[in-house]
Amino acid sequence: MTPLLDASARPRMRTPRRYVPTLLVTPAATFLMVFFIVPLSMVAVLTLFDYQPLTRSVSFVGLRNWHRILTSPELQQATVNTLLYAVMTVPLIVGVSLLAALGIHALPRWGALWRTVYFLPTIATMAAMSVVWRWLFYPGTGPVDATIGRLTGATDWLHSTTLALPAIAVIGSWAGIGSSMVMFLAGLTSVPQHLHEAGRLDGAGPWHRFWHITWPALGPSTMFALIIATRDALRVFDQVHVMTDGGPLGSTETLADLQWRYGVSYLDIGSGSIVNTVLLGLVLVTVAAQYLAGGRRLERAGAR
Amino acid sequence: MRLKTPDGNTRRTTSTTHPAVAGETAAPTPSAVRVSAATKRFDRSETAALDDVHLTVPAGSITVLLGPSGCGKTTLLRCITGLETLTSGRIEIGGTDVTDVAAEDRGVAMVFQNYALYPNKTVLGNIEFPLRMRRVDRVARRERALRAAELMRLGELLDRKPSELSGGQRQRVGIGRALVRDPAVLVMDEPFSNLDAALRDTMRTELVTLQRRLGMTVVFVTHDQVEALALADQLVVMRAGRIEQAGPPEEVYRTPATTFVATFLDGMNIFAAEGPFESCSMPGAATVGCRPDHLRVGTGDAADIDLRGQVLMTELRGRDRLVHLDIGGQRARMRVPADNRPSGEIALHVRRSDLHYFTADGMRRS
Repeated sequence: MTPLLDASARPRMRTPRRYVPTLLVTPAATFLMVFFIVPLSMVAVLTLFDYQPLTRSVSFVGLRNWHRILTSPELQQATVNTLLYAVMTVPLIVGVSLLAALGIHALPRWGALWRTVYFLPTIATMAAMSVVWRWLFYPGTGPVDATIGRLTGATDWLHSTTLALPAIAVIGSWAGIGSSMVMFLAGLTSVPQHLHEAGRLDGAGPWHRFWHITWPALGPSTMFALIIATRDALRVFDQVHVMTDGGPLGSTETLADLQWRYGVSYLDIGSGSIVNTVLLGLVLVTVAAQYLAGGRRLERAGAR
Repeated sequence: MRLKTPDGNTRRTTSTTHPAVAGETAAPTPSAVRVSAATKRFDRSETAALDDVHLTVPAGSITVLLGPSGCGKTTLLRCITGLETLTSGRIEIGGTDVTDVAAEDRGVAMVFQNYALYPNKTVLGNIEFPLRMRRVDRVARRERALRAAELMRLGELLDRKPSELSGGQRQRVGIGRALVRDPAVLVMDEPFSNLDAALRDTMRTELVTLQRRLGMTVVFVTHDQVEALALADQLVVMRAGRIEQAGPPEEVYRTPATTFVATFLDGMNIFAAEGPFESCSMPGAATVGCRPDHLRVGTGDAADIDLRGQVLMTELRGRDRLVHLDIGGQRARMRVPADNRPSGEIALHVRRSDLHYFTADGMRRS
């Protein structure tokens, strides 16, 4: 009789152990290659060519595309608009979603209902919602003009070079609060109850309990919400395209919309690729900066 | 109230105040806690978590609440702190009615089972926090925090974060944070149950030493009877929201008021008062109890009751061995020296004077 635990009697593993990590990594790596690395490389290459999709003609132009686009007022304005949009939406999204999460977390009941209410805009199709918002901003008779417009005199937002971008930002914030609120709610449930009790016995009131207990524990959630909101803001496209199409006078033209205009409307693939690359660079730099500035501190503060 | 040991000496005095934490100005004044007719019902719960509890915690002593999980000991503790409010009843601390006083204004400090340290603050930051919240100025705060840290032997660790500490060190920080503001009452909710056995022993000794030095009023919750007996000036055994028995630990151990207390403390054997026990039984006693140490191997004399038992298994407990027996169809446990290894059917005896008698509803009869 063979002893049960005799190693020589065990069936040999077909795959040697050292190949297991490779096998596990392969699906994700393949996905990354096919959908990220290869397209990005193609875009980088395309910036150097004059490619006419209709006539299928390709000619190498070197850095001439780059020179033309980087010095163009369109790109500069789109970059400024995109950054302005981010400055208007990101603090609003992170702030309001934090407050909403704190409120919902403190509710004794109906928490799920309110969570759903705040999350609905996130799951709704942005393009379809933009149509609704365009109606809300309809000049003269739309609800916005009928209320805020009548009170403040600020009417016809979408056709104003100063108010169109804020209008776009309002919609973007409305849509972005849901997902960031869910991140905060997840963070809030991870704050142990006994820490709040210790805080109470130590004489900390609601504000101090928030500042010394909740806020540090929300570090990772805050960081994540901030990065996601910034990334989404820099890539804003749907509501711009549907509501203003970059107008009036380019006052709402963002990088993502400019990229569409060049690449799809004008079939200027080289220019579109350059805008795309600029946008990617902007997102990477911003996120890296945020991570370096606040990331390490916030991550460590939340560690238990 | 002073509690007497069997030799008649007072175990701990109530007035020894050590200036280690207090500083010169604010001497800690240990306060008595009085709980009267306390009842607590949680929403959606049929049974009361606390059911007409009366308890006096003498100032400057350690009162231990002991009981199985769900007996209400932690609820009682939390009601004393103010983290829970009573459904009805009254709580006084130092003679003042605090039933409706908020937790932060009761002068009660708590030590938690899972330490509850602020993870983003250093050891010093944790200890300073209660003073900071009470607007003690920076210099005095630092001075008192350092003294408390010194007292808890945390001097080397002041700049560490809780995640960089061992369990015992974390709990010392927890105690330091509780002591730093000279609380009228210190409550501890199973503070040592996350520590390993050896460390638990050490911490226990440290706590008693500290309590004696500072003369604090301590309410200590545990489900560990060894810990309870070792620490208590007053031992309170709880069951299903009620107090089964309260008194000096020696008395509770020696004369348990109910079969529940008898079995919970060191697992007294309870036999039906029939068969060999019938002859010795007193009127009205339905069960007879004897401690595992009082069962002895061999036949006894006229003052003893002779029994026969079947050895089921034995467990080594260090110096002793615990023998599990079947005595006339009833399970029992006997403690013998470790080198005794009884087996098979053996003769046993127990002295009549070592027996405890209980009525059918488990009350002591004597």
